[in-house]
Amino acid sequence: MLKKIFIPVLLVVLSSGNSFAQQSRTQAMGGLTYSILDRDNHLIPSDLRGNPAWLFVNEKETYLRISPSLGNSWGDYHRKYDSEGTLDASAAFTGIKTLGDLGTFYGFTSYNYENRRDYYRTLKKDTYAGEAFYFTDTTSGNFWYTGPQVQLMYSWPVFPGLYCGGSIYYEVMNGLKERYVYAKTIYRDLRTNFGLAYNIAENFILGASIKYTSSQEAIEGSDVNLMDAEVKNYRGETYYVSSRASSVTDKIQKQGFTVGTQLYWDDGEKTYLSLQCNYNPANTKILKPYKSIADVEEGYSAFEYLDIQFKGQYHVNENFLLGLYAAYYNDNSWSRASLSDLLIWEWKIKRIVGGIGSTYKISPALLVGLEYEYSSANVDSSKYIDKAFSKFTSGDHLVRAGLEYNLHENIFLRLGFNYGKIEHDILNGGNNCMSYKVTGGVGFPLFDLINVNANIQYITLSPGSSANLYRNYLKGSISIELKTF
Amino acid sequence: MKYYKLFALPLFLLLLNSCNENPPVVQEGYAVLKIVAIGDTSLGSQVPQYALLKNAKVILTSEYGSMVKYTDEKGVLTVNGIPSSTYSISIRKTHPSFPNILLVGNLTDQVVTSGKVVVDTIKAAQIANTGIAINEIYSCGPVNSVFFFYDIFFELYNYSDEIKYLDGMMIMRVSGNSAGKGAGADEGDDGDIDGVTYAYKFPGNPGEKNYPFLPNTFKVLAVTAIDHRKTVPSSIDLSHADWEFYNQYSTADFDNQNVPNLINMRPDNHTEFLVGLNSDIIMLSSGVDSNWEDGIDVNTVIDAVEYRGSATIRKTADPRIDKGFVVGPSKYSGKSMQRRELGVDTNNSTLDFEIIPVPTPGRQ
Repeated sequence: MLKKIFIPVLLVVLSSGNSFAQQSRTQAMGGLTYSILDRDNHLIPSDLRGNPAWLFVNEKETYLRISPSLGNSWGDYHRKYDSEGTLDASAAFTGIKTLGDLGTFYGFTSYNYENRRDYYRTLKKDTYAGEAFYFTDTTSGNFWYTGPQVQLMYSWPVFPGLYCGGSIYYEVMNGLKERYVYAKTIYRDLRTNFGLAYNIAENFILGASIKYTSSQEAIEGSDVNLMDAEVKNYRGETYYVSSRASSVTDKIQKQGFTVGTQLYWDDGEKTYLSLQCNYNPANTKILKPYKSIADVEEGYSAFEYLDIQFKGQYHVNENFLLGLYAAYYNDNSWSRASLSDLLIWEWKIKRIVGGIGSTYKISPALLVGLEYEYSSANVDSSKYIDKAFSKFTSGDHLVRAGLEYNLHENIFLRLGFNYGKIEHDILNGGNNCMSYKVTGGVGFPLFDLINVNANIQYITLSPGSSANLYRNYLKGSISIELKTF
Repeated sequence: MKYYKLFALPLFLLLLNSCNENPPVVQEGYAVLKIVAIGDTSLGSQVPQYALLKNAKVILTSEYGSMVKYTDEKGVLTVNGIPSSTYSISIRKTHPSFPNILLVGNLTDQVVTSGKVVVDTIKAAQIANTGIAINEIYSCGPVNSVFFFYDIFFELYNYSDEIKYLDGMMIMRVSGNSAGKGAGADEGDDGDIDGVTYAYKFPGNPGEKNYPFLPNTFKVLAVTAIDHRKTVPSSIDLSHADWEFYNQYSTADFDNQNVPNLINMRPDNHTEFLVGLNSDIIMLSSGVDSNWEDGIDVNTVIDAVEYRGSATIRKTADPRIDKGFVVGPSKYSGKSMQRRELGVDTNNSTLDFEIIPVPTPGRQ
């Protein structure tokens, strides 16, 4: 029942990883996260939650990284309004320019293409975003989303020990459905981020950041055959208000803040610890046009996300690294039907995560790693309008394994494997799910000026109740890094 | 030291943003609606004799669409947890002794709110249970810019469990009688519906059994039974209609030889069976009273639907043939007026009909 509501958590987690952290190397090694030394996977605040202040210290080299990627998903294990499969491709360009004492500049741009095959009825870009409102027509059809993303970031030292940074992110995306009601979507997303980081002591950093996000999705449907467009505005999953007109529109506006603090400490030798806390209140408004003169609020959803994450690394010796991870997530949301001012949905998820792992250099050429994570989620959902109530606990296990083999000089071969057991898949609704992930990749230099890292991942997820039901993902990306430009 | 103050900024903004809206106190889904259905079961008496209607069909209509429920053995319907809205409620039940009489009642603008219990009684009155209803009226014309509107059709539906016969039945446009009470009214209160403009009839006479109408089937009556898409691409194909209006007194009316004809009963009328695009009254009668000049006996009316271009236009049809009216679609919009639920005729077009985006001749 709660398959709709975990997406916001996932989105926050995904967005928390700053886009300048490509992590191509660790992705090819099964996604090893906290027990591996990796340039893109530091413990310092900029990677923990995108505090732009630490960019100045984090990035000391100028480079340009080109990252094309391609992904595909298919399979029948999905939610009602999910597509039968998705093909997505993007080409991203990331540049770091160090300016000495003047600071460090970061630029990112990408162009994204996404084809959702047989997208079932829904006209929203993010259907399962935790709100109790759906916007559908009466057909399933292919949906295309295309558009660019741009991010600029700048960080500079205010004085020795205090660093300041800011970033702005903007995304525009056009969506188009190929079948009735031929919906056109214009999506824009704006995020600004401001952060400070201060060296309280030699190896002790305190960081703070605040992020503001604002997005709007405007959907317009009209039949090319000049017939009426019929759409349904769902309040909950059962009841809807039908609308028919030559042209129908809907707007989804979201905004939110994320306030975060980060602590980092190391002993300068063997131990590295980081702690971060983020609080993210946000809301979504569903707006419908009223007599072509104003938008009326049809529905309102409020979200509140809190997370506290700890990461630690201990170098037992030069070949052996031990990693620890612990996290607590507390997510709440409620939705109301604005015109009647009635509470229609309410959900809460509390999740604790604990993980341990290590990497070990078996030989100068071979690095192997293993991580184990256990998470426990308490879910309490009340869908008052649908008379659907559920409360359960899910205990999930995840094992990551990876290796990196140095074939010759700077030429690396990487392999990885994940095994996951999910008691209740709150994303897709299945029970006793199994997930498997196989990864592979290579890394090699070209002409001493270019580093190439490529990775490919295959993921399959299936509920324990049905052997023939699954969802597969195949993704690949290449990271071409020019050391100068 | 002053730089430490900078860290207070996020905390300040956090406090600022904590002014989030509070969730509503009342939860949706806790409304209770209790309807007691009673019906007038008197026979030939001026004094109503009300009885509880057990197992009566109850149609709840709101912005969320229609729901069909049934009363219990005590004539009571209790619904828990329906979404809060303003409901129109109709009850419908065959007379316990005479199946040719329907007991029909309505309740409109009933506000149902979560957390509250709404209790009300609906009194059902008697109407003729003919088994045939006008199911769809398409009259506004297709989407076009040349003022084309000749693809008009009417659809009948046999909602009974038995074969009905169309012999001698009449279908009429009732738009005259502009003075007095208006079109479709009983002028002079003599039990006749006045203002018949056009009157066409099925072949034969009432009581004959040459033109069967099978249960749970449709009959499409086309003004001109041709494929209108050849004229206007956005129009519809009516070449396979079941019946065609044919004015034998007109020299210009097209006749599709493959479709049987409804015959004009007014020799003074030389035009086709054209009706108002979004405002008119369509009436079907048994044909027992065929003298349209002094009005059609209200007891012979099988079904009638009044539709108007605006909700504010005065209703004129006698409530015995239609208690409400449909707000018709815009002219040349290609939309159609169709009964919400097949065979659910509560004698109130306001409740019974809805606008659908495209006409559906021969199907729901």
